[in-house]
Amino acid sequence: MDLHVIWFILVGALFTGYAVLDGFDLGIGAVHLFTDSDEERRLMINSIGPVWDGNEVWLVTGGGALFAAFPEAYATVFSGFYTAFMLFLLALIFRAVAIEFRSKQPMRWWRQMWDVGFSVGSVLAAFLLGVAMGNIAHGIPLNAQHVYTGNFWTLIHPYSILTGLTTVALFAMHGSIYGVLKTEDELHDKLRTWIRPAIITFILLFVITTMFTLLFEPHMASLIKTNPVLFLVPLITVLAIANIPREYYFNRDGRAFLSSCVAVISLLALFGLGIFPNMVYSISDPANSLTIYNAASSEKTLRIMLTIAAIGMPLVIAYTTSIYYIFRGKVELTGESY
Amino acid sequence: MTLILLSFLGVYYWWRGTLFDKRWLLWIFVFAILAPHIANQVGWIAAEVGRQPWIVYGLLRTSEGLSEAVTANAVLGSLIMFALIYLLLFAVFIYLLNEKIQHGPEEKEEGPIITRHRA
Repeated sequence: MDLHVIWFILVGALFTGYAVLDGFDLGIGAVHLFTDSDEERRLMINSIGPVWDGNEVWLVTGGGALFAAFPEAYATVFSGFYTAFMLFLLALIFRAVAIEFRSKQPMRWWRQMWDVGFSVGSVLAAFLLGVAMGNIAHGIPLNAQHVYTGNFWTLIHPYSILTGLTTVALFAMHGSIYGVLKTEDELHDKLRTWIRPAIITFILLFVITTMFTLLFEPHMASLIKTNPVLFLVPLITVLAIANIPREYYFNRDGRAFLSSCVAVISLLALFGLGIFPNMVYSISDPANSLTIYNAASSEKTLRIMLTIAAIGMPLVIAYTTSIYYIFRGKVELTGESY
Repeated sequence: MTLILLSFLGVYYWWRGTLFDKRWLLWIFVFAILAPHIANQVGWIAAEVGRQPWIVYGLLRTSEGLSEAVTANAVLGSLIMFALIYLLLFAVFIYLLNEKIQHGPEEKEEGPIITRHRA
């Protein structure tokens, strides 16, 4: 296991952590407008209230780790996807600001405005993340200097739209299950009825995406083909996804949420296996692809950073766990709530 | 330095118990809020303008560090987008701050607005 592979896994782990954690934040945003009640919307925002900021930080650390370990890939992707990235930032900014400002004034128009901002921001962010992942899987046109040679519209094609929609569905399902764990009484029951269509939608989209990938993106399956033991990963993915409606049926919502987390993790592991060892696959000329070897920093950099990551990661996990423990249990609206 | 001096003055008078009688000092504090903001902005401008034409001093010029994939229009678009967002947020911020100041300090809350069922 060389240093480059370790860093590939580490960057993947950071982005996976982001997907599991901010997944349900964006998911709550996706289902937010399905109720008209001011109190219920407020409870939903406060269910993610103490944790959403720390969850978003995982995206920053993922991007930072990408920058430090694979700077060429960072440069190609972040400059190539520039317009889409700015849209993504716009969505995130409005989601964040909406959470903060929503309940500060009692006027109906004020709260409605920020509720829409929160929801649209969350859905747009989830969609754009899916589009980005779909484009990395599909491949983007790169020239010999590893510079992206397309434009914004090159990123919009059937596969990326499909992965975008699947991501929104995944997060909506993940978020509603989380919401059920954090709420009680009417809102809890309401959210519980939403989980069913969310699960069905996601499973449909997941199946369609898988079929599309196997048929039209065959390079995504190449590593599993040459190492059949890796078939375990898609197997676990399917089992985890199938377990979600099963746990829901038995009213074990906690386990449903755990299955949902495992599903997100194994989906991203599958994605990682699919693109390995490329970071950015060049569809115009595969020789121009960025791999974990030609896009990486020097060995010395990777080694130093691994030491720092070994110190930092336990700290991050420690504070994250403590926050979730402190704010365990159902949501309570107090004077300090959002 | 002036700000540090002001802080020490404030602490000294507070320890003496006379801080709230020194209205001249309190008024200085109100306007002194501007000082760190100005210092911060000026410092950033000095750093970013002063480093030109280098983006990495002595090694890489700013013109050499441009992303080929990003067009000038895209950058302009994103600049306008951020300018609009910040203007909007600034306006909202001033509005909310004013509302809060007009309202005055809150009385201590008695307990949770929605109580949990101890079932």
